[in-house]
Amino acid sequence: MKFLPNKTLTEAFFIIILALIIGFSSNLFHPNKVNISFSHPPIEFVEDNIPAQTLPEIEVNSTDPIQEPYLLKTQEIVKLLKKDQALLLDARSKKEYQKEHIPGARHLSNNDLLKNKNITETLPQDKWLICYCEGPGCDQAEILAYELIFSGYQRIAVYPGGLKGWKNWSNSQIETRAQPDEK
Amino acid sequence: MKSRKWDYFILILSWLIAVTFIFAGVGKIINPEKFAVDIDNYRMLPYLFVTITAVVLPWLEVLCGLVLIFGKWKKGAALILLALSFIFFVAISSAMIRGLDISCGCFAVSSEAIKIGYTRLVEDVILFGAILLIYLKILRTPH
Repeated sequence: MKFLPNKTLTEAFFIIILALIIGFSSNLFHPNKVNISFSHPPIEFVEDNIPAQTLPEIEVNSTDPIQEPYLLKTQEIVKLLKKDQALLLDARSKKEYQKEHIPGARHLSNNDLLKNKNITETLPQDKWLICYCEGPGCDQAEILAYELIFSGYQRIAVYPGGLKGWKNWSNSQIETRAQPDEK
Repeated sequence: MKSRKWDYFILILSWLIAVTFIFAGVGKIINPEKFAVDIDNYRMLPYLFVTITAVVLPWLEVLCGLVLIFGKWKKGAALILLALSFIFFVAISSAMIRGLDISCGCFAVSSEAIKIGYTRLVEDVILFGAILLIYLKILRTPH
């Protein structure tokens, strides 16, 4: 018995061709269609699509839950960091964080949060917690942000530009050491 | 008699596998944009191939599932599914080795999606074994 008969390979070939035809045709009319392109949308395009907004003043002990995280541009984050009103949270894996991260950022992945809910006790209540991941397209930051909102945090934002956006803005100024309060 | 029982077992197994892939494919067809993000998170493919895979792979899963239940090209479908489960295994292992903390993108496509890990790897090995059984059985079946 031949493991890969020619007839089987021909059948597989036709199924793949059929999937290509149906896939590309359906994508043309899909409301959430994928834009076929050679590269990711440029960071500037991602930042331009973030709506202009004013961050609300939220009291430390406020009990009004926010519905969704705020989306912040690089410049807004820099302003908050300069005023010491924000803490960046790197939502990627520990290994990736140790390799490189935005200066001052702490590591907190969604996995860590699910494993140990008490981990949030070390997070400041009086600062905006800004979650980021690799860059446009990744979703770990958003998942972490929602998880923090469900945990009762009020000042939660996401940095859609992520590490790529920061590198682009700061000419690749990144940090490779962990923060002192991290193990 | 024993052979007939084995035939029924393989038939039911192939239906289960087919339904699994149809279910997985439909979830991704509903939101291909999100599936593209899931594939991109693995950081294994150039962006062009990420987008093409996000558009084509879900339909490939659904078509193979349907063919496995109804069609005449069962050998071809089983071969594709065998290859897919092997590719999934390589992708998940590679992401785990690189220490990525990402959603699997295997079945559910939502923000609550399943994370990659050893459980996913074991599931994939079981899936691969089941498809291999089905493929070998179909190959032996005379036409």
